[in-house]
Amino acid sequence: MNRIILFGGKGGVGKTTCSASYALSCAKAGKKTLIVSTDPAHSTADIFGKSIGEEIIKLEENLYALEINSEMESKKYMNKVKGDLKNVLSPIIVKEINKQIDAAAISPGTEEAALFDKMVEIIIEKYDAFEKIVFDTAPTGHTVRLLSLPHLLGAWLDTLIEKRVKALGLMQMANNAGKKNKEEIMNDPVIKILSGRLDKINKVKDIIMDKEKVSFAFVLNAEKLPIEETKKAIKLLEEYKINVGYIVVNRILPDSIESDFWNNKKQLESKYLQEIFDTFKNKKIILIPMLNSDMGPNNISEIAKYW
Amino acid sequence: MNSLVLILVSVICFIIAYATYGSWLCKKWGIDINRKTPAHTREDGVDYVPTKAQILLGHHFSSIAGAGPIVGPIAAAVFGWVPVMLWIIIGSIFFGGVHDMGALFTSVRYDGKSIGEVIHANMGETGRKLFSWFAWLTLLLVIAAFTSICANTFTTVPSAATSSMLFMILAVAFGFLVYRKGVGLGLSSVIGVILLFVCIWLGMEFPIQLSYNTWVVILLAYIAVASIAPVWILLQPRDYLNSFLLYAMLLGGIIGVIIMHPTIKLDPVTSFNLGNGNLLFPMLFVTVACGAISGFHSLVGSGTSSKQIDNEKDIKLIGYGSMLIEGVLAVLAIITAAYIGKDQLTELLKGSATNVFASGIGDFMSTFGIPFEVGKSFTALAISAFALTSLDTATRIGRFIFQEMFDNTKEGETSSNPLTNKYVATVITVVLGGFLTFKGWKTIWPIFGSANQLLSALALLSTAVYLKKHGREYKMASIPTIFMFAVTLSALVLLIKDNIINLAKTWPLVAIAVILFVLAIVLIKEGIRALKEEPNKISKDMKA
Amino acid sequence: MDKEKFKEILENFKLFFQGALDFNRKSRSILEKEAHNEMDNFILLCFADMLGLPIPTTYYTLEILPYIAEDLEDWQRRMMDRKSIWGERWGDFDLDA
Repeated sequence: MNRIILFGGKGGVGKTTCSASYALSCAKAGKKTLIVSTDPAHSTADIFGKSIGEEIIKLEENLYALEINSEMESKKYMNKVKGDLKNVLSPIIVKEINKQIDAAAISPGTEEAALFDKMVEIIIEKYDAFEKIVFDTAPTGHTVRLLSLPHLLGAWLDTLIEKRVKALGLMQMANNAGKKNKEEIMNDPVIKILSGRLDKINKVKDIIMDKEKVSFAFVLNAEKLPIEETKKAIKLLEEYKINVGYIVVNRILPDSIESDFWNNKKQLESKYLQEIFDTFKNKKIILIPMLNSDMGPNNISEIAKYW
Repeated sequence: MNSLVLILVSVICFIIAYATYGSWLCKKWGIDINRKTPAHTREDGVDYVPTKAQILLGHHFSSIAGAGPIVGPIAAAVFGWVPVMLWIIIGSIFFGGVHDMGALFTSVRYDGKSIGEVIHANMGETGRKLFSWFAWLTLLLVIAAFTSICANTFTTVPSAATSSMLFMILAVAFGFLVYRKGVGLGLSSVIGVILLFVCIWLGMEFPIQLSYNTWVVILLAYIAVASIAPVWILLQPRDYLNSFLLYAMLLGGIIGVIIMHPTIKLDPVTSFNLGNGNLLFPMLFVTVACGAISGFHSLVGSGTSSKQIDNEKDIKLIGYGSMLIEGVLAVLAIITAAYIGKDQLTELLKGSATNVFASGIGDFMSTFGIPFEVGKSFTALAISAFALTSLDTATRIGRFIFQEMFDNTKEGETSSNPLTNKYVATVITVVLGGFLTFKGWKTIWPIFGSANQLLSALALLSTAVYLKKHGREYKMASIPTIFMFAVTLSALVLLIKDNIINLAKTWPLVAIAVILFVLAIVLIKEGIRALKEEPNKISKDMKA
Repeated sequence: MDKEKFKEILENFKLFFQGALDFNRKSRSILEKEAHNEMDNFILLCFADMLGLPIPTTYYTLEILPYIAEDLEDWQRRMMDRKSIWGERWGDFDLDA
């Protein structure tokens, strides 16, 4: 059974609701579950009525929660680099380099990278501690990029390490006029850092590509555009060998409606639902109803039943 | 006339020139001992390293010394030794020395940037492009000429063939020992030198006899492979062992000639027109080439040496001084041709200039106990080794130029152009160079000389433009430039004229000569334009 | 001849031969140049955005910054001169002609 579930889908389709209710349903089924919120708007915290932070907290029996604040993660990383700088170099150079680091902090992709790093960390560290880890992730495009990172990063890190090893080897040949000392090269701090990262990436790659371990739950509404987008997204994910296990159709209109306006909508919805069932027949399709009030601690258990 | 007189006269002339003309150049060019050189302003422990002048002179001279200044004078001996001596002395003092020093000086003033950049700053993009073309063509001709010379040497002195091949194997083994197995450098050097003599002995015992054409093909295959091989496999160890050969040979030769001091038997002057288009003017000048003025030196000077100049006052020693020392090497070469008399010279020349030089040095070294055959084989090996080094380096750099040339013309589509592929570029360079080989080095050499001198004309021109733009006297650079143009253009016209009758056989050479001619005209136009430009139009790179 | 002058000339000769026969340097120089070129390329891959070439992987290479930082300024300067390298390379090898 998939231990890790990532929820994805266009912005606003209700990923948070779905992931939260799913996590709760798992917990109720007796599985020790961790829900990880990556949403800067703290919606998960609102749903459960508790404040969630960097430390794992217990929400209910078997249900734990954690929040990733990508801005904070990125700052933490930058500060660590700055700290390392101070330990290794003269303050004059440090001052110059700090400018580089600050520039990198605001460059696009930084927060995404920090987010991914933290996700990787959680996956590797908490894998054995929980029976289920649920991620409520970012909108589609970002998610796909995020998940393709291991492949790209892996190849790139390989090249970097190779180049550095070659350069150090040549340097050794030149200086010792002697043989290359493999050990010394591997003790190079830069290679150690890069290899460490590569190891982590490879571990995550293995986990992500393992159908048994990781699954993707795609959330959409029963409307035209979301279906098209879902088809494209799933194709992309499967190119990266990521298994999409669930299709979650959220905000299903209630059966008992009266006005023509809503009846029309209900009919359209049925049509789209049929299309969904036809198109995604090999996936598990879950239907979640629209609520008449905001999702909160009192009605979350209701929705959990639909899983 | 005794050969010692020749040596003494040249050395004295050079010393006087160094003290007077060299200092005059320093003054006129505004050499400033208080100005910080790029070796200091950009010091990085990698390329920019301030180096003591005398040590740098040693480095620089090692880089420019080679087979060029040896082959040229010997080939030109047909005109008689006096014209050759005169051109070596006058050329080195007023042409080559000025060229070398100018290239070094302007490079130092431009942050140690290579001569291509300097030319760009002074003569614009056209100038730089021309320089690339000239350089590439000259390199093709180097490949053609040196392959031919080696093949000739191997055919007539087969012991050199064996020992050269063994030398290559020795170099690779040496590299393996030192850089892979970590055997100490000192120990490996001793073993290396001993094995070197084993190579020579084996060469004499088991000479390999193959035809000229076969050798050409083998050599071309060798340089194609060697120019791509990683530097530590062949390049590094071989260059290292080469230095032993160079200085042993120079030392042996000079001591030998002093002890022997043979009389010159060759005619002082033969004729101004030897027939077959062999006119003293211009052919003498493009034949002696490297011994008097060589465009290649500007690249060596601006590529490495300029980044290591400690103080501007060293520029005279390294730029001007090293050319004069090379002049002495050229004088040594002409002596080996001149002391044997016309008949023996013609006989030995059949086996290429290396044969003449090797016989001469072998003879000289026998005065202090080295058997003639050993001395001759040793020298033949040394010259062949330099030629082989120049060959695969020329191919390597030719490939770089080629790759850069074709990468610049296609915007945004770099890697998909097959011409920029490393292997394609190498093969093209080798094939084109090889194609010219079959014409024989005697025909190629003057064209090589012309190309090399056009290269130097461009560098001199750039120096002249720089001087003018900074309000300094520049005629000492512009007049030699004009002379170089006169010489090379007339030489090219002559070569075209003579070979056009046999066009079916000689078309590659004629084609190159025509290309060079056209490029030279473009260069002259550019030069006139650059020199005419207002002095206050100084490009943003320039410093006062 | 003046003893001082003679000593000076001898010293000059000694240094010349030291440079000419600098076997230690010769046994290293080409390899060192290759090594530095490779290292420069490595740094390029990591920090190309310092040259204005945006690469998406800056975040990941920041970690190694402390260990590369000292060379960065020189590296940047060297990179500026990299538009055409064949001229620089000429001096690295021995093209004796």
